Amino acid sequence: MIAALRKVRTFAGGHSGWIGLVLLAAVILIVVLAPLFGLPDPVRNNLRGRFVPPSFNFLDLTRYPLGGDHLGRDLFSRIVYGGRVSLAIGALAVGLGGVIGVIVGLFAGFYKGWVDRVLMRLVDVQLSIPLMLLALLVVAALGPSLQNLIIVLALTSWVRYARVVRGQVLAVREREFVQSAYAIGVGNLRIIFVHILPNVLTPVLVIATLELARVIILEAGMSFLGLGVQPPWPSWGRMLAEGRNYMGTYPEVSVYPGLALFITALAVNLSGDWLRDRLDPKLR
Amino acid sequence: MSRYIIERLGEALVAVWGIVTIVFVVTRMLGDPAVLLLPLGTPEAQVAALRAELGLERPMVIQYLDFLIRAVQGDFGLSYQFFRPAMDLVLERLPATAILASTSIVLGVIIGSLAGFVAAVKRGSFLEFLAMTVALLGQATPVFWLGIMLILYFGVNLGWLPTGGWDSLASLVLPVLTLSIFVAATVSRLFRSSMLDALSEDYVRTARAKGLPPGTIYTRHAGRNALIPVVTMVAILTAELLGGSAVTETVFSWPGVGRLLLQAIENKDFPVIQAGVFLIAVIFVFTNLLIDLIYPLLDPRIRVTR
Amino acid sequence: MVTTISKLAGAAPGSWRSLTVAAWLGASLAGALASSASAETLTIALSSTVNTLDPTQAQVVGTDVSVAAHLYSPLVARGPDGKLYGVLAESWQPEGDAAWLFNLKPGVTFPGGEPLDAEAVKWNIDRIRNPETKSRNRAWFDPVSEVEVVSPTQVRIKTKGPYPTLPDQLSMIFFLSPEWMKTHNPATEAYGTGPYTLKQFVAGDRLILAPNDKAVLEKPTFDEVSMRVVPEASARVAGILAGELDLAFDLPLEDVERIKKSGRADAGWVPSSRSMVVRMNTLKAPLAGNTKLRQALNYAVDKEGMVEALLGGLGTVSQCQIMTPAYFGFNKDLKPYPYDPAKAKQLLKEAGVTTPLKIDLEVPLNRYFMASEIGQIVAGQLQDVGVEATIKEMDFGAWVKTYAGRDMGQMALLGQAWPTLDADGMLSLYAAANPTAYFDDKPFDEALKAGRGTTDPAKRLEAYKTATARMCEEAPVIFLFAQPFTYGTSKKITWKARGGDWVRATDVVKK
Repeated sequence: MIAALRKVRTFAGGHSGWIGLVLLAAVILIVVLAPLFGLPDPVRNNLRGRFVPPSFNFLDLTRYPLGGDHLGRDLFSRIVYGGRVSLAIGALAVGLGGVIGVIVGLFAGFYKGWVDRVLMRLVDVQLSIPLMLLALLVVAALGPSLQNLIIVLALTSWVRYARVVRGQVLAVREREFVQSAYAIGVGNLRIIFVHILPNVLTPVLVIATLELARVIILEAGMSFLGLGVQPPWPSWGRMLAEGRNYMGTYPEVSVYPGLALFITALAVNLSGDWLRDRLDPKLR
Repeated sequence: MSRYIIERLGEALVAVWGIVTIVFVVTRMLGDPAVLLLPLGTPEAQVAALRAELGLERPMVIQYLDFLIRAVQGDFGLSYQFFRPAMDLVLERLPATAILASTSIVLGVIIGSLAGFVAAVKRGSFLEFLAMTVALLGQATPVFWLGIMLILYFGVNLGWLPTGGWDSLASLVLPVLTLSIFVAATVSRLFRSSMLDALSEDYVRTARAKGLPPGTIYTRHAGRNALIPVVTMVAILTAELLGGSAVTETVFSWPGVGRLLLQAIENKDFPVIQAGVFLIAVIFVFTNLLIDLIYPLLDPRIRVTR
Repeated sequence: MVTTISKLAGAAPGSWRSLTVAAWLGASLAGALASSASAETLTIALSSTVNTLDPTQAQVVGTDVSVAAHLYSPLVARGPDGKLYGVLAESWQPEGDAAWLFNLKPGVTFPGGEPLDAEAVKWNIDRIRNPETKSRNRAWFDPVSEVEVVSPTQVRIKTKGPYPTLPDQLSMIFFLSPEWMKTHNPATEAYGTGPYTLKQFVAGDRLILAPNDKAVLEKPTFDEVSMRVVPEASARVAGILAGELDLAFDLPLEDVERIKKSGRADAGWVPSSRSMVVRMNTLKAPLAGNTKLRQALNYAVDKEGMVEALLGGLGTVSQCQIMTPAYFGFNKDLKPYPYDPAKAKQLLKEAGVTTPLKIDLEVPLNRYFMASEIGQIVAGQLQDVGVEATIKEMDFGAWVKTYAGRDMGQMALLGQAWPTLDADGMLSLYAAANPTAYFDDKPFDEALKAGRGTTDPAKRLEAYKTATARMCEEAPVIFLFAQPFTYGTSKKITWKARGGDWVRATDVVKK
């Protein structure tokens, strides 16, 4: 029974994992190599090409394969170029937020006591301040730039990792293998990063995949405050938001960037599951 | 235990004080409400007069102390744009937000944990595929997009449900659906993965080897432990939704706290921002305290109180 | 756990489902009944939140001032045709250059019987002028020196100098009962002589008005008027299409056609009184003292093309002035700068500008109509003549800090209007003394001064003709177009569309 279960699991897990990795690699490659495909200019307006219907002809990229947007620009080209910004912002913000959040969570959960109290009250403070207020503050104090945008997005994101990791660590630190490591005199940092960290990575990976999509969507809101991508340059979040007024009339303007985000999220989810299986100490 | 709670409440007080102080400073850096309240092109003398009227010409320290002394008494000042006590405005909008948030969380958690559970237990099945596709949609679809699409379909095309507003039970359906799909996506993905994690634990394998029925294993051994990350995340989401979800409230013309706060931030209505953030801070601090009290129930080995 | 749930679901699938469906149906049915209970209910969507019911503090015409107009009475009001008509005032005329005399309709009383006479009018205006009232509308009465009760039906408003637009300004002033004010808060309650009374006020959501049976000045025409706050444009379209709303404004342009074609409702547009312009900071390099450069930029932008393609024809190109024909002082003789990139390039050369010229274009968001789109198109067209405009979108609040602080960037996109629809207010935005003028031109200022120095309409018109011609020539802005004002109506009603932001049940006619 267990064997059968394991078999099904490795099969499904293994294959979907590979599908995810291939998909992710494809998305990244397309986006990175964008200038090589001879795509139409993603920022040049063409008022006569507003809402041109899609030709779905991906062999002739000059014929609006996914149609024209509200300013007559090629949607496909904008999605490809917009992906560069969105994926970069997403990866950096999720990475930065993840590293900070995981470290805070590990320390708070492991040391407990005043370390925990102080760090968790910091989390409370961070969670209570509305994102828009934070973004406006960063614009006012540090000025608008992509770097500051990533900082704001990472700031909204680290608290989630921190609280979830802390909760996990509180449970894991009481387990026998941690207690025995402690008993034989293994150093605290080693216990935290070698013994505890691998056991709390599962939720971290899930949150990271959730955050990637969230952060990419949030970027749009930030760019409207002056942080982030400035027009006419596209990003997926921006494109989604720009389609807001055309949803009843030309929904494709926001559907296709949404689809790009969906495919990316799918690829990242599957890859995340694959990574988790590789990292899970119990399955090695 | 009770000593722990008292200590935590003390800390909570400090955290809330920290938050309102930060927000006080932040709001003062954002710009001049007097300019926003008067029509553009108003002579400078008149702008200055309004600024003085709002008490914004005083030294920052005096403004801050005045704010603190009043806030302690529950007085957050008069809203600059509504001409009414700021806290009254926030509290008046709270019921709408609370109903929306609580219904969405409850529904989202039910759907999410069922989907996550099924996906974990029936791994590799069509059910898993279905559950996870829906979760993916909930995760990668912007709330405003989903909201408007639901309005267009159920409100306009089918005409079954109101397109917005807050007047009947029916007007609750679409906003709740929008938010709960978002909650369910998070819950199901987290629950599924920690459930899978728990199922591979030695004690679960032992229980299986002993021939215990799967139902018992899932609920007794694996399920509870797997709930820790889910519970943590749900707490964050609950507090976030209770603070008002400005986007959903805007799309569905829902008169909640989120929209009020957004408008206050846009118009630099300092008293309303301060009252709103104070309320959100209190909500967060208390949900997080609650979570720490729930942890030991989920895993008796956890002792947070020490 | 699974078994329990599946049992539950298995045991009574029908009852579960039917229960919820019944609940939904019941609720939606109740909703449907409520909205169609009587054809005499008018549901209007307001695009933003009503801040206060207090007419002394009301400033936003589209919400607070319009709401006040239903509950209270002004001396005069502006009709859909743009002309003033008397409400409480029977007639009014200037007395020389330093006073206006208003003759009031006799016998008007508040619901409790206290009279709305000259004494009450004086009390209200003096109250607004009193700094202790903290009315944000106080500035309108800065030129007023005294309010004098001549008789119970005659009131004289003395001014420090000529104040030709006083009656226009008074169309936004509504009268409260001095007696009632002693014990009530007008921010959340209402007690007036308007056509409707306040039935219910749900903050942030809706306002329900009932007919005022005692109204004598303007009669109610609906059994109930419901004003709902619907901030999302798509949701207003949905509400119109679903028949939940009778009247909604500021709909996305593309949806106007869609609503018309749906057969479920109707939609249309009128040119509004708000002109979209690209402000140029003529006090800052490189635009300072370089008229040719500013004219070049006007030639470089294809206004016609923008109206045709971006607005789908729903707009009118500005006639080289910031006023629309609805304003007093509109100059019929001016023509827009034609779209002529070659001429633009030539002027740039003459201006001594080396191309590509780098310049910033600030675009404040969430305030003006299609700002992001228009900003991108303008930048694209400037690019074609060798001017590289870098778009800087920003939060309105952050932007206004520099704008009102005499520190605007090189260029900024915004919409401008003046509620009284008079050249005096509108053009004063560019008078050197104004903190947001970014324009310092003696001949223009002289002409404005001449217009303000008299109450004689012919002389005023002449002065504004000079001023607008000068402004066209000096080009402190890139003139674009009048923002279209879109609206949707249900099949039940027709709306006498007006270019301003006023929302009045009295403009609605039942079919």
